[in-house]
Amino acid sequence: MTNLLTVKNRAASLVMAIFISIPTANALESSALLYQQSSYGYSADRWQTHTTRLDIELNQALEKSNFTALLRLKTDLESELNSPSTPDNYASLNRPRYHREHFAGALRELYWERQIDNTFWRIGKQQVVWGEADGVKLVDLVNPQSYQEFILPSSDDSRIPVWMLNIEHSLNQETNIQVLWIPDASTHEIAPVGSPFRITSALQVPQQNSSQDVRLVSPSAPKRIIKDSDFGLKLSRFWNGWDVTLNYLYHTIDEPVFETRIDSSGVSVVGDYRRSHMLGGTASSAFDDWTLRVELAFESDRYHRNRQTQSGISKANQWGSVIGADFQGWSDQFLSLQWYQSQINGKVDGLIKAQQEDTLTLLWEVSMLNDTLTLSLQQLYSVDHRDGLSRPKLSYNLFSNLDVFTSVDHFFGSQDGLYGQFGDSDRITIGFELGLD
Amino acid sequence: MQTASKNNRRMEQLFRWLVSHPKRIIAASLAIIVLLGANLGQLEKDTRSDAFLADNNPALLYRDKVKEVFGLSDPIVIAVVSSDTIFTTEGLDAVRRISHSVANIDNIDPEGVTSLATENNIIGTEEGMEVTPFISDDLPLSEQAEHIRNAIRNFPLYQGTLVALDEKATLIVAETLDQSKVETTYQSILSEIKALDLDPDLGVHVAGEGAIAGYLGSYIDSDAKRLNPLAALIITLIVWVAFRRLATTIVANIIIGACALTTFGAMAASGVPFFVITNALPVILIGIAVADSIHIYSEYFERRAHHQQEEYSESIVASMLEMWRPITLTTLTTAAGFMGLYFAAYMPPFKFFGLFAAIGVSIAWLFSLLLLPAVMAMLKTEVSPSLASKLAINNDQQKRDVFASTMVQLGKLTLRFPIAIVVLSLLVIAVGLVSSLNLVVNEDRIETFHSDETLYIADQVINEHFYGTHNLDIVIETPAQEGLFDPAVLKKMEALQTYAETLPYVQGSVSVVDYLKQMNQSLNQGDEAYYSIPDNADLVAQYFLLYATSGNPSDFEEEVDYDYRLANIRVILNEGAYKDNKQVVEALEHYLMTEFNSPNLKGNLSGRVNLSYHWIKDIGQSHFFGMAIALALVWLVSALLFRSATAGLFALIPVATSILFVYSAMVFFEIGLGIGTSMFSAVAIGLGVDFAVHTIDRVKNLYRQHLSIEQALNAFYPSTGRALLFNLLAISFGFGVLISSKVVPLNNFGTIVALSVSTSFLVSMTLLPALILLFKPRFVTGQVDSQKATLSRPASLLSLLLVVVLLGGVASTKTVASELPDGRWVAEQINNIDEGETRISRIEMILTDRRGKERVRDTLIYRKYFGSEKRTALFYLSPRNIKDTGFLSYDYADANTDDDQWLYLPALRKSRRISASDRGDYFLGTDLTYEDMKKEGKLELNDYQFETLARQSLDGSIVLQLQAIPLSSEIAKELGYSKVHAWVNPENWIILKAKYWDTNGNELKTLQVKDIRKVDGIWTRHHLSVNNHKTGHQTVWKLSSADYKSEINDHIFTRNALTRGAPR
Repeated sequence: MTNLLTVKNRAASLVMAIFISIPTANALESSALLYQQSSYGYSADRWQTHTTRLDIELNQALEKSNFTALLRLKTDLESELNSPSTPDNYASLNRPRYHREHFAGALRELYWERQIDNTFWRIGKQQVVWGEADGVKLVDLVNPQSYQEFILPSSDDSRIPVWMLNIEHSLNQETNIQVLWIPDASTHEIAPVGSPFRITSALQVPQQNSSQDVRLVSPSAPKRIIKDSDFGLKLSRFWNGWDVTLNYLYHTIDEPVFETRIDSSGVSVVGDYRRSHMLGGTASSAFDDWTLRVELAFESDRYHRNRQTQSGISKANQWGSVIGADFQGWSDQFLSLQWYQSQINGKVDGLIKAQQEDTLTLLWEVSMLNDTLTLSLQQLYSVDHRDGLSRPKLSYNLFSNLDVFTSVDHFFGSQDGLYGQFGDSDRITIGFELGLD
Repeated sequence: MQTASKNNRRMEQLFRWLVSHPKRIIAASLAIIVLLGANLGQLEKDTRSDAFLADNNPALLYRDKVKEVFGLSDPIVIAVVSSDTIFTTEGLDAVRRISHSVANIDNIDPEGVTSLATENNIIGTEEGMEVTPFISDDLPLSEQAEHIRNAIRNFPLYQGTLVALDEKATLIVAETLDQSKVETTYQSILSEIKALDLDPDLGVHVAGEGAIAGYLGSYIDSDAKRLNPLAALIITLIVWVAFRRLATTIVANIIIGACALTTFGAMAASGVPFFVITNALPVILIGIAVADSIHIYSEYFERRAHHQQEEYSESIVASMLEMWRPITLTTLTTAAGFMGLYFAAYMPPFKFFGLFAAIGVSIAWLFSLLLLPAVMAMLKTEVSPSLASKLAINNDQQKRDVFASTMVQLGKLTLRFPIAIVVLSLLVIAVGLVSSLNLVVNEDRIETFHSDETLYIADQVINEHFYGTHNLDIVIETPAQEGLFDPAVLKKMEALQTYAETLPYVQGSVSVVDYLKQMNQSLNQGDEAYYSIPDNADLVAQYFLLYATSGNPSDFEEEVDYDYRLANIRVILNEGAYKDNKQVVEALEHYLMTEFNSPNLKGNLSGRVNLSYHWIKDIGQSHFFGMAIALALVWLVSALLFRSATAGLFALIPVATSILFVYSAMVFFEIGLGIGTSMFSAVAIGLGVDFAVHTIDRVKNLYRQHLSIEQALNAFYPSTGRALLFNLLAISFGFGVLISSKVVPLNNFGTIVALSVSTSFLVSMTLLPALILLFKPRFVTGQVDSQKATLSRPASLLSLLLVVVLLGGVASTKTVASELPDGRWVAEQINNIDEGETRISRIEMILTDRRGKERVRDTLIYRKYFGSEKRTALFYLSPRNIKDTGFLSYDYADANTDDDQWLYLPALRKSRRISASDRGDYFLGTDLTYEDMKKEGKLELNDYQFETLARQSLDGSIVLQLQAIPLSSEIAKELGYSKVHAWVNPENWIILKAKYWDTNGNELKTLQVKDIRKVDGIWTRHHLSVNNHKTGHQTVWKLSSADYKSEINDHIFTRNALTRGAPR
């Protein structure tokens, strides 16, 4: 409890110090969101989580600029998903504070922003979202992600805000350029050992061979502020009814590369973070009842699991593309289809995953009773591994500020697949979200 | 004398000019006919019975409120009847199929269908209560039939209401959504049932108030369509028999056609709809228009017979000079009679009937005096030789035709027995006076239909098997939410129901009390001793809760409101006649006042029976009042015209006698004073007074020639008397056609009018001359004022006519529209409202569902024009759950270019491009569509065809009612509207109110705009409310601040900025 209080005190002190030191005539605005979620793993027949989360948002408007802070306090009565021994993926300034498995506190966001003429500045810990695709990250690589619950939480919740300098400059009404410098080298947070969402698929992590004594060297988040920092550039333009962007990111790949090394001391698997250039682009436009979305990305120096190389990995460039079509021709309904394709460049033998992989996604939302009741079905399906995820959800706006919901997350297909590996983690969830203004 | 001669010279000049320039007159008349007749297409029909009550009638308003709260309308009732029992596979299957089929019919409320296939049984179980459908979809019907029969036997509430007491029949009750569409709905139900191809052994009957209302309009219309041409044909024949000239019959028809077209064209142009009773107006116009022609032609042919060498134009001028006075006099008196109806009637259809009959009479007069001589001059019709020979030698009895001979015989009788005639007439008057005291006010809408009509039979069948088809609602109001849980309140309701059921014709009643008793019994092992009201409020609340958790909570929508504050008791009667319903309504009103109402509990009557009671109850009073005004006006006009109060009284004698005679006949034949019969007096006075006026005027003139009343009368009968006989034949045959009508009230109306007009004629031909003979009144014999007495000054005569007609016109200015601006022009003015280059507004949205649950959203909206392109950015500020949700739109001036729109969802932290093609989709859960949001109270000119319908008063402002109809079905589908009516304030061109109809033509939603004031010099709407009538959902927009002056940074309207939330 001491640690938690310390965390709370530290974060609160930092935020309060900033806000108190601001000489302003404007009042401090505050609001909060109380979120509760209970998930029962019906395949494993046990509770996964009873999470209660309080997000407190503070806004202080200054004469020409604005400060925003978002504090998060979280408790979980279960310990399935949490572990203080979570691999170290956070930069020191970014690290949340845990108290055993049950409590956590974090300064989620803290930034100052200002519009100066045609330039918008936002400096601090924040999220930046790129891309047109839903649930598939091709160019949306600016913030790392928490995989504590795989991809099940909302994007906003699972994305890890990082410290950065974000400058957006408008060249004219239609054209905008964004420059990012991200010294915070935090990376993806993966589920701890014992968690139902621990990644086990051979596609992503090396498999333990029981006959060998293998030493595992866990990766550490990059720490060098300048050298390990990421740099991003986005040029966006609204052109003839099309939203078009060009994206570039030089960054540390947020997932560690596990390389097998054999030396005199034996066999070791060393986790490490490597860097990559991402060059991509997006486009979207609407045609009658349809919206077309396209996303394309080229990534250099990606590492893939390989069964033929001694290191267990091989390096290759890769392409990814998403073509999505949204249909809104039916009243109060939204239907979205996406085709995601990834392609490893060149001929690489021994790859565990296929050289070209295809995934299809579907999202169907039906709103009723003046948008108070929403039924949705999200479906992800890997064509190559024949596994996938089904996510029906029902949510109801009970009062102005209270949403209640229930959902099912059902994984299917091969245990070796990206989704099928969580076959025992199927769950049913109920919860609510209460806004406190 | 000199003045009279001078004025006659002026009239002579007029007629000479008319006959010398016939083409101009014909062209001008044609222009007027075409101009007004062109409006005929816009004549709207309103055959609803509600149309008989003014829109602001309290009973009507209360009924509408009840309809809104409980969803109760005048239902269409379908009975499935079996010769043995309805609980058979075929019977239940029919119920199920009909219920399903009817629920899918447009304008039927799918939630408002009640039948064995939709209702639930309540059974007590160990766990509590089980609410299950009577008919289960899981089992074959053959296995359920017995079970369902037993369930109904244990459910007293449905016995007699849903299932016949003899179990041979059951009902499917369907509530309609829009009363004005019920005619089509009724026809759809009939054809759907036919298409179901049900077991031929089952009888299916469709009735109920909804069906009656649905069928009445088309029933009367089809009848009128058959009768009106028949009347015209008969009158044509009479004109031909009278004059034996084809040209004359054609001209008479031209005058009739011109009169009818112009009158109905004027009706359409002034926005007055065609009501059910307006069907009688064409017959009246035909009768009046032809009467003027008959009199003029009669004079003309008589003159031609005597002056065969005379120029045609000379004959025409001479005839017109002779006839213009009596025709004008009769027009004035007839118009006065109809204006009496206009002034006295309280129901809009009667008022307009009186007004447009008066206008029609005046139009007939105008065409007879101006168009007729012109046409006659063109045709130069010669008298037929046979008629000429009979007319030329008046004194030769052998040569007279049968009509003239009859009249001469009648004259002889009058001259011989004047005292006997007076005595006989006095007897008729005395009997009539006594009868008038025994007249019974009565109306029964089902009796409108002929007894062999399917609907009539269906009504009989349903009233025989069930409690009845006539509903009386009692709305119970408690002061607070859940006030109905109080057992004391429930017991008072129970006592009220018990009392109601003791009243005559009341067969049963239904309220939430019955359901509670049923639940109490079910939860106590079905013990009949527990068929009573639970004795504490908590238990009542628990029962409702139990039901809600076990069954459909909306099952009680027709009995209680959502808050359990209001309840409805539906009392069912098997008689719909006013005289029967009157006892029930008055007894219940008395009971409510003396036994039920208290400061904390109130009961009010509503429903069709109550509504009918309220619109019929004053019909007697209105009838006598209207007749008194008509008689007074006729007397006034006659007295002024003849310059003699006595002459006025003499003119009244025939019509007064005829009305009293009709009263005697009505009492004798047991015909009640109802909708059809109550207006006969105005028609009888208007038409009947003509005989008296013609008689007095003619006898007076003849007296001047002969200086003897006897000789004057002898000359009167074969000439004017003969013309009046044809006048009578034309009118009474015209109305006589109505006797063959299948619409019973029209049938009665035709009979009564024919009877009263015949009596008027007879009295004018007998009693009136007898009185003149006996009393030798000065207005006939007076030497000095004789010319004065015939109102020699045409100017004053015309002025009087003008006064009578204009009086009506002025009095009706509220509804008779003056010239209206072009619809598109009005729409352009709306679109030209200054809305500022930029605007920053803070809006609170309050969304309320049909249960009264509110959701509140606070938004900040930026809007800026970039040339002709409008960009809008909307941000949600609260509640926290949706804070920072944003919407951005680029609205392009070119209507063919789709807008660009983006939606920012904070949960994704991503702005999503959205399609803008579905303009009719609702905007983020509100009741405004994306198009409504975009247009901000304006209307897209390229989407609609506009028309200004009327100038009306709305909340103290004079507004223009603008109609907008989408130009194509595609546009209608896109917008989600088939019609929009907007009430526009012409002072600032802001739409104050708008009604929208969906693509099926059903009323969809209503917009009300309030608190309109200027901000920074720009008219700004501060309060908007939109009520969706289909979903019961409401959206209120409250503008808390608007700023048209502050500059807005262009970058706010970019996709990137949208993701940053509201600018701070």
